[in-house]
Amino acid sequence: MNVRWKYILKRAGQMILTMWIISTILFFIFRLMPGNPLVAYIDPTFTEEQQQILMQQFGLDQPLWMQYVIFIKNLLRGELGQSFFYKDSVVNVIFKVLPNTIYLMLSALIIAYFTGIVGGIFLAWKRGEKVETAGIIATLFTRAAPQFWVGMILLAVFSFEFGIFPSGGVSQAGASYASEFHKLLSLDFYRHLFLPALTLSIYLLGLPLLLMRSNMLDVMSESYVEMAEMRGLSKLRIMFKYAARNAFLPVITAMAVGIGYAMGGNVVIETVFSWPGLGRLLVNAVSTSDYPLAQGAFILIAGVMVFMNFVADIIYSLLDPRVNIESRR
Amino acid sequence: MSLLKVNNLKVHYETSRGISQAVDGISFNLDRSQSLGLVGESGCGKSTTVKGIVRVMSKNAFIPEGEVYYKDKDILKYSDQEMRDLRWKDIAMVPQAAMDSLNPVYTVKNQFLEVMRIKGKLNKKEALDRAEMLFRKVGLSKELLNYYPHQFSGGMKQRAVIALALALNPSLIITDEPVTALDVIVQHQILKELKGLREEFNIALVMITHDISVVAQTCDQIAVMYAGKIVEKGPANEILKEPLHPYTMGLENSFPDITKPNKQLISIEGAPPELINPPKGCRFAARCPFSEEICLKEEPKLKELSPGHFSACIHQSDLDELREKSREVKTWQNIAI
Amino acid sequence: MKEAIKNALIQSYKFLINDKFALTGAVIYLVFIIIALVAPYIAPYDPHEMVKVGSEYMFNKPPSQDFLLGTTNMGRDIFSQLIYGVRPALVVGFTAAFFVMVAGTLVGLFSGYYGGTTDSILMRITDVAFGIPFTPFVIILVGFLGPSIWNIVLAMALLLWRDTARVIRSQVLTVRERSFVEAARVSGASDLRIIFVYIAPNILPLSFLYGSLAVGWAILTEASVSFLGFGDPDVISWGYMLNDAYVSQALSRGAYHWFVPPGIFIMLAVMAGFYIGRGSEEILHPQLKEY
Repeated sequence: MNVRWKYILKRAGQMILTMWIISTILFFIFRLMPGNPLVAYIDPTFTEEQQQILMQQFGLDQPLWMQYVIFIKNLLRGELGQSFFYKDSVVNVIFKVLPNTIYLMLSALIIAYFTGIVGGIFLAWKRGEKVETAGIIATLFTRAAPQFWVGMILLAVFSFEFGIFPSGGVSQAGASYASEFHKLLSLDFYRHLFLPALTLSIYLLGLPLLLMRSNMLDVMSESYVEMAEMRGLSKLRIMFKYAARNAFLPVITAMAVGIGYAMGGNVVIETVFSWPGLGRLLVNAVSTSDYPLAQGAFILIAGVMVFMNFVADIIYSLLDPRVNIESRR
Repeated sequence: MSLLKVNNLKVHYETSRGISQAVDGISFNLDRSQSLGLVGESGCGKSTTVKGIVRVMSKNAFIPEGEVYYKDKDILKYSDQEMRDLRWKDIAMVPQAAMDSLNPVYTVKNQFLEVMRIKGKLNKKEALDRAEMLFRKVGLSKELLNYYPHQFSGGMKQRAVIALALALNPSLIITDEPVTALDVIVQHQILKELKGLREEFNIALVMITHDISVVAQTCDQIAVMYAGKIVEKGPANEILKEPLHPYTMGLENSFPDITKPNKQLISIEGAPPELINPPKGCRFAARCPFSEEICLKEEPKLKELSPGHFSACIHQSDLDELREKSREVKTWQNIAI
Repeated sequence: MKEAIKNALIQSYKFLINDKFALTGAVIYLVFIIIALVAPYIAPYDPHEMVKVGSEYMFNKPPSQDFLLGTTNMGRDIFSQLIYGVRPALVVGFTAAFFVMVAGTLVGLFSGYYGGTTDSILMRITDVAFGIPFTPFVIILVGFLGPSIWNIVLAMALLLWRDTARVIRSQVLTVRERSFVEAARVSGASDLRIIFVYIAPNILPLSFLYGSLAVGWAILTEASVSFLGFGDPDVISWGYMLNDAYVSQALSRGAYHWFVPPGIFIMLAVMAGFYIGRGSEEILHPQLKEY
C-alpha cells in the first residue's frame, strides 16, 4: 500500500510541476507578443476605470517578475481575467460552454471505445483472413482522414442533402434550453449531438481498435488460451473470457489518455458543427484577439489533458500485477 | 485392449518458405492404463504429434494423411463439436510451462468450476467438492483454490494442473514436459504422484519429454522421435538398457546417470535437418557415426527386432558392438558424411 | 556515423522494396513529389487566378472539360488548386518530419544514454510537451505570431518530437545494455562516440519510422489550422481549400467536387506515411510512461 501511495504522490507532484511550467510558458507567450503587452489584458474599449482596476488586478504597472507572481497567484485563485469579447469574466464564459464539450467528448468516447474494442476483438479473431487486412486499412483511413473533412461530408450528406440532422449548433436557431437538465432531456439536443459525436468517434475509434487487436494477438498466443482450447471450451468463451478479458486492460488505460487527445481534437469538430464548446471558444478567442479568454481556454484544455494523463498512470499502476500481489497476500 | 492407435499420422505446416513436414508418418499403439514416453530433441515433432491427435493446432497446420483411433473410432474424422466434447472429458493434457497455462485474471477455483460445470455438467456444490478432493489427491490444501495462478510456486502449479487434468476423469492424459522446469527433488515427487494417480484412476499416459531419465521412472513403453519420425519404439526397460537405434544410443550418452558418476557425457554434434525439404533417406544419417552410403538414399522402415521392439535402422545384427562403440567419445567426433 | 546513415538507408530501402504496404506508400510519395515538381505544367490555371471567360467570371462552375473539378465561388479552378496544393503539403510534411526526427532522436539518445539528471530534465521537458494540447497550441502560436506557413511548421516542430523522444529513449535503454556497447565503453570510447557510432545506428530505423508518421501528422495539422482560418493566406494548401469551401457554403450547395478531392489527397498523403511507418501499433500506442 505504502509503495502505491508514494507513487501516486510522486505523479501528482509531477502533474503540478507540469501545469506550472505550461502556465509559465503561456505567460511568456502572451507577454512576448508583438505589440503592447498591456494589450494582453486590457482591451482599449474598456473604460478608464475598468482599465485601472484591471491594471491593479494584474499588476500591469509592475516589473515583469512581479507580474508573473501575480499571474500565478491569480491562477491559483481561479482568476483568469475578463474576456474582451463577452465582457464577462473568463471563468464564467468558459464554464457556460464547458458542459457542451464534455457531452460531446463523452458520447464520442463511449461510442468509439465500444466499437473499437469489439472491432479489435473481431479483427484479431479473423487473423490471416482478407477481412483482417480490409479492416485494418479501413481503420487507417479513419485515422488519415482529416476529422473536419469527415464532418463536412457527413454534414453535406445527412444535413443538407437529406435533412435528417440539423446543420449545427446545439439547439434550433433562436431557441435555447431552460437549463442543463432540460437540455439533456430534449430529443432535439441529441439530434444536434449526433453528427458531431459520430464524426469525433470515427476518428477516435482507431486507437482502441488497433490497440485491442494488438493485445488480443499477443494474448491469443499465450499458453492459457491454447490450454482453454485443449480443455474443449467453446470458441466464444475462449474469445471473451480468456483472450479479451486479458487484452483489454491496457485499452482502458489508453482511454484516459484518449480523453486528453479528444480535448485537443474537439477544436475542429466544434467549429465545423458550430458546436458551442470550449474548442470553438478558443478558436473565436484567438480570431478576435481576446487574449484573456484564449489564455483561459487553453489553460483549461491543457489542465484536463495533464490531469487525464495522471489518471491514466494511476489506473495503470493499479492494474499492475505486482501491486496486486502485494495487496492480496 | 487398445485405447489409442495412431496410424501413419502426418502433420504438416504451411510456411512462407514451403511446407514443413513436421510429423511425417507416426504410428504407435497405447493400451488402457499403459504409459508411453515420447522422447526426442526439441523440434522433433513430439508436441506437434500430440496436438495433432487432439486437433489443437495452429492455423497453418494441417493433417494430410493418417488415422487416429481412440476407443476404436477414427477421431480425425470427428467434427469440431465432437472433438470439443472429447477434449478433457476423455483426453486431458498437462502442458509444458504450467505457469502460463491458467488464465491469470481468474482464480484457480474459477477455472476448475468452469470446466466441471460446463463440460462435466456438475452443479456448483458437486464441482467444488470434486475440486477440493482432487487438490487433496495431489497434495495441495483446498484454500489454495481461492488463489490466483501467479501466486503458486512452480511445484504447486504443476500439481494444480495435474489435478485439473483429472477433473473430468479422462481415460488418457498427455503430459508435455511436465517436470522440466522443476528442481530434481520436486520432479521426483511429482512423477511419483503421477504414477500413483494413474494407478488409482486407471488412466493411460502419453508423456512427452526430452529427458530420458524422467521417462525411465514413469513409462512402460517408449517411442523415440527424430525429425518427425519414430526411429525406435518398444518396452522402456529394453530401450534404456539396450537401445537398438544409434540416435537412442546417443541420447543415453548425453544424460548423467547417478549410478555412474564418472560417466562421460557425450553430445551429438550438429542439428536436426530442415523439415521443409527433408533429406532423402534416413534423417539421422548426417549426424550418425554408423551411417553408410545407403543410409543417404533409402529411408529405413521400422522393423521389429525383438518382440514389441522396433528400430528404423539398417543395422540389425551388430548392435552389441555398436553399443560399445557409442559409449566412447571418439565415435561421436568428426562424423564425416 | 556516415557509415551508419548509409546502412540505415540501405536497410530502409530493402524494407521498402519487400513490404507491399511500404512500397505503396513510397510510390504515393513519389507521385506526389513528381506532381509538386511539374505542377505548373499539369495545372491548367494559376490557382489564384479568378478565371474569366469573355467578360464573365467563372463562379461556382460544375466540373467540365475546361474545369476538371469545377471552380470555386471566386472563379478559381479547383483542379489547379488541388495540384498546386501538393507543394505546401510536402514542404510542411517533410520539414516538420525532419525536425521531429532530429529533435526527438537527439532527446531520446541523450536522455536514454546519460540517465540521471539529464534524463530527468529531458523527460520533464517531454512531459510538458505531452501536456500541451497539440492543436490548441498551434492555433495560439499561429494566431499570435501571424499566419505564415513557417509559423505553423515552427509550432508543430516545438511539440511533435515528443512521441519520438519517448520511444527512442526506451530503445536506447535496451541497446545501452548490449555487450558491444559495454565493450566500447571498456575500450575507452568517449560518450559521444558511443552514442553516435554505436547506439544511434541501432535506433535509426525507429527514427525513420516516426519520421514518416510525422509527415502524416504534420499534413493533418496544417490542414486543420488552415481550415480554422489561421492558415497562410498566400498559400493555397488543401486545408485552405477546405476552409474556402466551408466558408462559401459549398456544403449546402452540394458542391462535392470542391470539398471532397482535397480531403482525399490529404488522406492519401497521410496513409502513405502510415504505410511506410508500418507497425500500426506504433502509430497509435499511447506511450504509457515507464520509469
